[in-house]
Amino acid sequence: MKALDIALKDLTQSFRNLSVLAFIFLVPVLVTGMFYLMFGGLGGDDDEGFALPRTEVQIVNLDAGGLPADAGFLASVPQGSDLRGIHSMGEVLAQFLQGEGFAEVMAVTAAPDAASARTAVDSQEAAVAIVIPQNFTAALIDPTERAVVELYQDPTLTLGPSVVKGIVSQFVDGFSGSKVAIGANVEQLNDAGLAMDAAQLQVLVAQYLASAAGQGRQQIGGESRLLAVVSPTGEGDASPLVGAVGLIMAGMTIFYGFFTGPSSVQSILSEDEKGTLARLFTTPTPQSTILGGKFLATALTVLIQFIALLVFGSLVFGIEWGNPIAVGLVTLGIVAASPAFGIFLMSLIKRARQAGVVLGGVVTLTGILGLASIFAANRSPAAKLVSLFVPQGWALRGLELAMNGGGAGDVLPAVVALLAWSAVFFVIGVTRCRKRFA
Amino acid sequence: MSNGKAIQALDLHKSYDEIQAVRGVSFDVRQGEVFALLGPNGAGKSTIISMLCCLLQPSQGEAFVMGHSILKEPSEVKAAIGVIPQEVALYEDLSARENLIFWGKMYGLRGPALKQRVDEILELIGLRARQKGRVGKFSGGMKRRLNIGIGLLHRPQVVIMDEPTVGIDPQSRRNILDNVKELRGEGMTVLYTTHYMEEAQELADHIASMDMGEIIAQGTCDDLIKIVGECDRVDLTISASADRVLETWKATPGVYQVMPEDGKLGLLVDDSNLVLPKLFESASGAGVRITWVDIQEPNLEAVFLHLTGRALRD
Ligand SMILES: Nc1ncnc2c1ncn2[C@@H]1O[C@H](COP(=O)(O)OP(=O)(O)OP(=O)(O)O)[C@@H](O)[C@H]1O
Ligand SMILES: [Mg+2]
Repeated sequence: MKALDIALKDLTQSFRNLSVLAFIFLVPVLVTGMFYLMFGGLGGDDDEGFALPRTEVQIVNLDAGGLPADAGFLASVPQGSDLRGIHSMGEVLAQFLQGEGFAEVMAVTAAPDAASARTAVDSQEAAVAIVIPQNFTAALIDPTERAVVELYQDPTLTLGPSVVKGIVSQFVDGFSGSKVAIGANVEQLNDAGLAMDAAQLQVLVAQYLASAAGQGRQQIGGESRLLAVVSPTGEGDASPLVGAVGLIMAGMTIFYGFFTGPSSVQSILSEDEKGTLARLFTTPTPQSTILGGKFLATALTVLIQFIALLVFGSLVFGIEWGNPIAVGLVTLGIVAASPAFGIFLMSLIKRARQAGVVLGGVVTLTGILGLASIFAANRSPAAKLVSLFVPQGWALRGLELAMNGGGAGDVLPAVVALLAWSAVFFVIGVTRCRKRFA
Repeated sequence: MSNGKAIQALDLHKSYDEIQAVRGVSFDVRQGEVFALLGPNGAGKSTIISMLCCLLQPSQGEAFVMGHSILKEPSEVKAAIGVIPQEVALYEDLSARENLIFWGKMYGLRGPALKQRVDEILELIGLRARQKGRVGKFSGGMKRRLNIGIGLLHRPQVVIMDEPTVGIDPQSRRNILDNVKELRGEGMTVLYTTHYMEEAQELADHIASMDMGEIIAQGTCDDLIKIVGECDRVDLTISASADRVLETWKATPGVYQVMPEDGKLGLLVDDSNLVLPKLFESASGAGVRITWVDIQEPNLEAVFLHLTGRALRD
């Protein structure tokens, strides 16, 4: 009973926290949505699922250009594509953001210069100003150049700017690796309390890079990741779009599901620092109940996230997840494995300050391994094998089997594997934590 | 079973790696009394409290709370005490009421009894009007009052308060001191730590004065003051550096202690009527003018000064 009270208290706390909510629900949906848009299809009729506030964005493109005319990727842009006749990467970014795919999320207008764009933000006409620097294209070509895309945002707004920032980060990081950075106005971001933390960005970036590399190689067979963004998939199967989006949404849901566990278990560390954990220990509540409550809170968060994302995927993207019992079993496995993974990771961490880096790093790495088969577009047996060394791989395998029409019996091995992972993580984690907090 | 003693500490020791934070502390707290642990920063007050509420294992020694051993019966001890930690420990994302409800459940309260008790506590700590407000937006004093309220929810037999009045405005402080008196009125036992001697003097039936991990004196307030006998406490300021008179004054008959503290000199003297003229005389001799004098009846501050040669406050 007390464990449930603790769990409900934790849930109340996290569901009151806007950035937690954004990270649990919004980011996975946005990432999937981006892939959906990238693959070219956008049914005009089924997008009422997006109910995001539209963010006013002013964009200033100072990019002086300098793309070599015969640059490989421009040459391979299909006739009639939007990208024909473009001379700078700044224009590509501007077009990307103005694309109708983001029209629901943001209204982008061009501003003549940086000062007027910032003024627009200051006077609240716009929520975000994006300034693309003069050497943006140059930086992509010349390894010694560094360019910084500036994001100037209204500190009083919360959701919109962080969404825009996420989208721009993905774009910029995908193109440039480390050469172009986003120089957000750090003070303002911090004031707003909304700066995506390093771990979150890291995850986004890693994901984008990995998938862009995989998809890009797969579809265009080239080094030009740019084309992964704009190239339509057209060729091949009858319904490649829904299939691909389904797999990606499954991947994102698992990726973030395994992020939620560890980051929500972390609340033990912050309670430790705030003194509420010690206070809990002064009440007649057994230690196991307190840990159990934390575990339950995390499991419930993952469960809610999972259900919400699955329902969203099926309503908005028309994804068919498969036999409900099979999907339910896999969900159960994930709901056990993610918090157990969290407890295990937390037991390795000394201080809450390290948590972001360790959790972000390990979760991203294992996530990429686990989803390697998606990134390799299911063509690499090696990737499939590697993915089974991490729980995310088993989760994906389970969901994939269900999506391909598997029943409860088919997904059972994957579920058992997930539960075995959970047990191992749980036992090691709890043993270590008990020593720590005893 | 607990033979009238709410708390019995027997030779408690606690060492951290290098530091011996508590070195052999023994005291008894009788049921229904307010007992103050008085001591400066770092004296070891919070460490003692952590041991009494089973958060820390003593390195040596034992203690009983309502007759239950802190080593062998931690659950019984925890059920008997209400702890009010020195650092405010609340959930800032929850409202005051939600905090009380949650902590009440942790103390095993449920249903209508919980609801009623929460209402009573909100009244007691004067936060009824703000019960729906998020704690993160509360002032320091409001948080402190809520911090206290939580420790009282389950009507504990023993309330343990660790410096509940640090860093708050005089009005909230008054409110808290009055709460403590009410608690005693209701028959609760209160263990109260502080470094304000006025608080110990006003509230406590018994006081243990601590320094550097040890109890240097304990008893009723009057007992303690008798230690300094019929001394007077004299504070003065002088027109020049204290060095010019320090040695002469220390050697003056009737002067027990001379304590320079930020621009002032605190003296413990036998009888101010006899000693003051001598002080003026030797000051003139050294070419120093005494610019201000204050004479006080002996108090706990004087006791601490007498026993340690240092002021209670830093
Ligand atoms: N976790 C710890 N590790 C090492 N030393 C500690 C620890 N906690 C306390 N100490 C040391 O033990 C001594 C006593 O600390 P304690 O907190 O008990 O003092 P206190 O009387 O409560 O002081 P204050 O009035 O400042 O709260 C101090 O020297 C402190 O530095
Ligand atoms: Mg203390």
